[in-house]
Amino acid sequence: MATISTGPLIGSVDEIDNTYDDPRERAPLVVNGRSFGEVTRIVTSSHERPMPMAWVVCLTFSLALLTMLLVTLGMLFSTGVGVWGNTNRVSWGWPIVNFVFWVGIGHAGTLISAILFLFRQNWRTSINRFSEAMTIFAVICAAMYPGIHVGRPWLAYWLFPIPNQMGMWPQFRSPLEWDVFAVGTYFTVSLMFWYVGMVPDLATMRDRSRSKLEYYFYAFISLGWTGSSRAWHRYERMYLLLCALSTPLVLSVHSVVSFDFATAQLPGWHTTIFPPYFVAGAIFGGFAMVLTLAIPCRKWLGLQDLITMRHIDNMCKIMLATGMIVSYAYAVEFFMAWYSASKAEQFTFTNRPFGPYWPFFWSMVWCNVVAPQFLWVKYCRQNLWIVMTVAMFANIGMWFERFVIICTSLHRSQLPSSWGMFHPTLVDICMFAGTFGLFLTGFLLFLRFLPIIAMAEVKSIMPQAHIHDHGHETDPHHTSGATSHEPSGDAAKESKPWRGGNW
Amino acid sequence: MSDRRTGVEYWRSFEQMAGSDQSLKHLESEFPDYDPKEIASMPRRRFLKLMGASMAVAGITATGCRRWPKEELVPSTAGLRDQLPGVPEFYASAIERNGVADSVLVTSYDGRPIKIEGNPLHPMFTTWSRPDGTPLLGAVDVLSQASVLELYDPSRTRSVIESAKLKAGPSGRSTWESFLSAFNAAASKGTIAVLSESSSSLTLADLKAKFLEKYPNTVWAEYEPLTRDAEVEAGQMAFRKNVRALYHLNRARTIVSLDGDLLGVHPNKVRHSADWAAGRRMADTDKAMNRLYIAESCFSLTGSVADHRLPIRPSQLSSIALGLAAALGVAGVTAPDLSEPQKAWVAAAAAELRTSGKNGVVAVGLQAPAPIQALAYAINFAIGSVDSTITFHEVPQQTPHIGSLRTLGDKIGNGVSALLILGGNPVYDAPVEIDFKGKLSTVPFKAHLSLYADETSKACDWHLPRSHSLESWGDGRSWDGSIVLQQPLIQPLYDTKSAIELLAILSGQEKTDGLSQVRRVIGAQVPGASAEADWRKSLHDGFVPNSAFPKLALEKPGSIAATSIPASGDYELRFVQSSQVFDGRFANLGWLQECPDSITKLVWDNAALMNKTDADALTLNTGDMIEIKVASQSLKIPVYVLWGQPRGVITLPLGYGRTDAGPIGGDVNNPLDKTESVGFNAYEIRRGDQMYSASGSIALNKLNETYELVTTQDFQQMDKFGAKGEFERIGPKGTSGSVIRDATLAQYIAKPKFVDHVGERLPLLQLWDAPYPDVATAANIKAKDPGAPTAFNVPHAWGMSIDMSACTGCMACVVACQAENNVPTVGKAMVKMNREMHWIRIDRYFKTTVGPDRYATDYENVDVVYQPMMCQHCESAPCEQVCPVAATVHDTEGLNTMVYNRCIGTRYCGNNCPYKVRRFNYMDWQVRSPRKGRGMEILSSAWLGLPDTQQEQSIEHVRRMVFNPEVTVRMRGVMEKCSYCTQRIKAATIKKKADWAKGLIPDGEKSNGQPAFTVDDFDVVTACMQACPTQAITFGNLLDKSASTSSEVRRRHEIPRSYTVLEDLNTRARTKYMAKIRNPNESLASAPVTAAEHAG
Repeated sequence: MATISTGPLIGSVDEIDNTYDDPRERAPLVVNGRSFGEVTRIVTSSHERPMPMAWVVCLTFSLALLTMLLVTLGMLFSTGVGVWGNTNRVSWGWPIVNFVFWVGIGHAGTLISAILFLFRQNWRTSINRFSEAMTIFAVICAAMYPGIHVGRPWLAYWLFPIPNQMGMWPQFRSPLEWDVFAVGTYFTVSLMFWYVGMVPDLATMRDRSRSKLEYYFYAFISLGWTGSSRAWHRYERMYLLLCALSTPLVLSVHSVVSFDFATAQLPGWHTTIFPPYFVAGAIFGGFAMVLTLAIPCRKWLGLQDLITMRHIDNMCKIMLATGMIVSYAYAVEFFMAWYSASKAEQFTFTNRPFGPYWPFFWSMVWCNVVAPQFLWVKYCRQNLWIVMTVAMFANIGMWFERFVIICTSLHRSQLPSSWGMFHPTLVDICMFAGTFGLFLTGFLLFLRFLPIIAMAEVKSIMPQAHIHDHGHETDPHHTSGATSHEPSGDAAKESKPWRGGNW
Repeated sequence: MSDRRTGVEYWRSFEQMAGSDQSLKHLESEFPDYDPKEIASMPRRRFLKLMGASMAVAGITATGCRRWPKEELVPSTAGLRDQLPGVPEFYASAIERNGVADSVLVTSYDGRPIKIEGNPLHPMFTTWSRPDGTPLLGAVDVLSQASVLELYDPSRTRSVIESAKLKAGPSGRSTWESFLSAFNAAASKGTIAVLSESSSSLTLADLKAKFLEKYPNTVWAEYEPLTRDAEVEAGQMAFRKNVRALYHLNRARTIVSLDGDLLGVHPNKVRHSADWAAGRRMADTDKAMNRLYIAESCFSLTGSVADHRLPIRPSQLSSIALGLAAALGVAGVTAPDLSEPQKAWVAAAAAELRTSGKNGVVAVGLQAPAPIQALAYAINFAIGSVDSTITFHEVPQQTPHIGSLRTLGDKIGNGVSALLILGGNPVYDAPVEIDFKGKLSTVPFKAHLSLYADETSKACDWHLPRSHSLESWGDGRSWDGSIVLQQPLIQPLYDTKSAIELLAILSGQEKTDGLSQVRRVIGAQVPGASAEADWRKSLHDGFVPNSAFPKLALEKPGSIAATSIPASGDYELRFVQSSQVFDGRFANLGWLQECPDSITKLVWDNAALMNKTDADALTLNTGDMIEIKVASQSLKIPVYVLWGQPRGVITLPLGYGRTDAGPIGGDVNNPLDKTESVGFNAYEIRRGDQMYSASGSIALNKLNETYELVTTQDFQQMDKFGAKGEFERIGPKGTSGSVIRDATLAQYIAKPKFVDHVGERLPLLQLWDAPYPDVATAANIKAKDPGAPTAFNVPHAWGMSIDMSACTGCMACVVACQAENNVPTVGKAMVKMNREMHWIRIDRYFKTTVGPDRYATDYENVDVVYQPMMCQHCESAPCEQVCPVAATVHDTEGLNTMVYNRCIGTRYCGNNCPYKVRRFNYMDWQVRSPRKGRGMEILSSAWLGLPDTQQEQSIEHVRRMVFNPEVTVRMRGVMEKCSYCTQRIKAATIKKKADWAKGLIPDGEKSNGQPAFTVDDFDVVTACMQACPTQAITFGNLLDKSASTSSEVRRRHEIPRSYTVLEDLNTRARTKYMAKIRNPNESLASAPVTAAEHAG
């Protein structure tokens, strides 16, 4: 399965600069003049060729972390939530910090898929699959936490409105209850969206299968896709509808998560700015995570021609924009604390930068406010090391942000007699590391077994898809895709109704 | 194998079949508390015999503790007369400690005593009475309350243990018979010596006489580490009599205390507290209140509530007393040199005492040197307060403790062949220069009667298990001398005897059971009490009427030879009793170990308390280890830097560092279950001539070690911004903040509603009427809208009022709540993680004058405010709105209820509670040992059982008996909090409604407009209200109001100084606080900018 080759599996190693903005010509989103067939081969190669050693190392490491997660979960269930560092002052500690962190990460996928789709941002096609996968695994990590962080996890199902003989329903005024629905709906819709979008590409993998087992597997999950016009028609309608459905969810899920805090009376939580602020923060953190995953993957899996520098440039710009919104929100929080004339509110916001948790606050400011400023400079956006570093800062910074909101608000609340510090235990730390194991294991398996880039969609935004003059074929590789992916076959390629201009 | 075997048998192994000694040893080590022979050989006949006996014993347990005329077996198939299953019964009894008995009222459930309260009928313990004088409630301190936990402590010894046997086998089990024959053999070889703990029991005194008759050469010594030798000496010095001074603080306008912790450690603290608080509450009614001055050498409870506290060194006490005496014209006294603040304090106190006359009192600490105590008596004569605020009573002759212990020490080695130690723990707590342990080892036969196999037991040949006071008959005298009767609530759980029973046997009495002895002695000594009816009445009331010490008419004492002692050395030591474990005897009680010290808030530890200036000089911080050297002895102990600690004084709480207390208090020598000591043993440097304070050659070394001290408040060094935020909330000295509101009496009189003009007040917009309108408003609402729901408004609206003026921070409510509501202890490591479970906590805030940089500079003169904090039962409760499963909901009577079996433990409510009174069961606290583990380990938890049922199997069976069956024992993973003692509310309302339904209460409306079936004031009393000695906590029905009368809580809610904590959050809490009113002397007060003036 593995090879010791550290180089790309296929295609060029040269980075081609397509980040220019020339009004006469749209910058290509697939570079190096790749043909449809090549696109197919590039994408499916992660399934068909041995994986690079980096993948094997990563998977081994992830599985180790996943095991650690399972061990700590065992300790948690057997001994009680006391294995964590939560206290009677800081009743929510790392588990909820991590929950919000992972939900935030899980934000970018659907945003890229749905909102950018509705806004006709063609560049999304190279990265949407992958960020959707990231969403799914991040939301799994996130959804785990509310379930296990309760004191009696075996009764966590009481959060669901299950009809029962006692007529006992959940308490619908509680934001935690809204969370259950928001995260649950978000996960369901994201999963459906991801899967539906993958069906044509799964059919491609079915067509390219090399063994019976593989064939049946992909045939089953591609739902008998034939590539008929009718199928494409239905598919597009479905996709559009799901986009429309997920778009509000992108905004609602993190807004609702922010209600957990905003509806509480606690100074530092009780503020109306939270929903937009949390959404912007989630997009910021989500894009940072997409970049964190995309940059190594495109290198190791040879996807530079599909995930081009322009994609990275665009993502950096979104990070910069959302990072600025987040910074603005930080500033507004401080202004409002002063403007409210509430002593408790003012104290909370003095306590954040100058209280005992000051390193956390200033780390957050460095990561989320200062670090993204480098992205104003094009050089920085083009230097993958810098981009990677800034993205890592954003990932870390967003975790710090959640810690600052949750723990510093709680640790010094209204009555000074009940002030106390929160210290994580080893279980806290190991469990958080373990969720990365869960996330990365899922993601690495996705890289190996599923179409990591939406091939059909990428092809639709390639110049070849928009040929109107049959006689002037410009693509030198036009005929080279012998084993072409296109389920519709070469004949259909000539005149596909769906290429007409919808895309 | 004594029984001959016949027929077919089953066996497990060849060894068992053979019945070898080795197999018996195995069995003995496996079942330490059983007779191995019993287990090994169990023929059918023997089995049936044992079963029969067990059933008979079971019969005794269910019935024997009742006050039937005869103790006999009653089959309880038909139920017992006058007893309904599940209906608690209350018995008066007594608990004696250090020679003073507390009269208590014990709640018993189905034959199990589970809760101890003060006996309301006994005048020393009454706290609440009706206007006509009918006593309602009594209070008792934390120590007596916790003794119910001691009764069910699984580590109490269960049989006689012989150390000779212990060497051979692991259990050392023996029998009382073998002990008696061994004792008789030893007694015949030479002199017997008896070392008894201090006791006021008449029966014991009588049996002592009988014992001395039988063994005339006996050396009888008496020792208590917290001795009151000085009090006895002072009486002799002043009046040549054995005299006890009783203070009547209810008559006192000016109270001057000379290092006397009247409200904290004094044996009569309950009476003192109640009387003192009554004088504080006069601020509301009479626009006047008492004023408390104290000069003290450690920060005591009394000091923390005093109006003028003068921190002094122990050696300066004589100067202060002399200064006061000179100012008040006591003959033969010359005024000593005093520092400026001392002079001012003495002048102010003296001036006020002079004007107060018989309404003034000078009280003195019982630990103070005899001349100072005698001088205090003389001052009282000088101001004319004798027979008004102070009365003198004749007490029986008492054995001097230190003297008799020294004599005993000298006699050992001179023919003492047998030493019998009745109670106490002298190996641990005897003065260090006596070297009691060393002397003890030379006695050929030594036996120790005690509840636990403690340090002294381990040094003796025989350990005799002692019956707990709740399982044996006895008597004693309360501080005023009334004879109180101790009746058992339960048959002894184990094969134990009380000191009375043991002495009765040893002195060869005909009847050796406790009842006959107590009956015989009390009957003989107190006229009238022998008659059956009188005896029964005394037993019912808990004390013999008119048996108090007779009041003495004394002449003014002559000149007292009190001299001013110059302070010597840089440091002086002050030994104090631990506020938690007393002299160390309660070290194995988790409730007390975890009960925070009132002032330091330390749990599970003691520390050397030091002033910040002293600590800074040695660059010491809280938690740094120091070594204190006194002569050749030294003690290593961590430092706790305490506000208000006098300079140059190191306060050392006694009672810690036990090595053989048990699995809670420390069991260092147990190879199987080693448990570290709790705290540090200050007895190691305590000498017989310097029992309470030491000066002279005291050296202090800083060690390069730190130790983790854990408190329930003040978790870290406060940073500058934190300190600022805290000051804003509490308010600097002399001003109010948003959480704490206080004023001086003058300010309060000038502006009764001052609480509305301080702190943060945002406009409170109300969307709907308060759910408890008074009767008239309710009628109006009904008239306007006949269909309006009334369910939320009737028939009761529960509320609470807390008077911060009266709270002394004594912690009685905390332990009462713990006992009532099955609140677990969690251990030091968990308290460090802020996971303590107390439903009620007493927030202690220091107030001090600060400079512009917000840092206080005066480390000695601080004010203290106590704020008891428990669930406020908000009408608009933030916790309820956020619970996703509706586990915390409001009931129609205004309770914020917690449905444990619905709670899944999201802890959101805990976050959203602004008062931070919700407590989460992070682990199975009832199952885990508070001493073992820090929360990470798996194996210490009962995790293989089904989570919802695991407690039943895993809580130690004896320990389980202490639980209040009316209150759920919470499992891990659920949130809990104060319920306003909902079980007590329900008991009272159900009873009332049942009576009403039966027609016992006439239908219709009461005078207050309430339906007939509503409870009356004081029908429902929460555990904290019950335990509070100062009436600081009041609970009742807020709807109970008419033109003429209203419930006490309603009345207090309407007192102008009532306010709601954090009222700007509009939670509409049902608990209101009454602002603290201080009464400083204008001539002494430095007149800071005051809150009331500030608000203008």
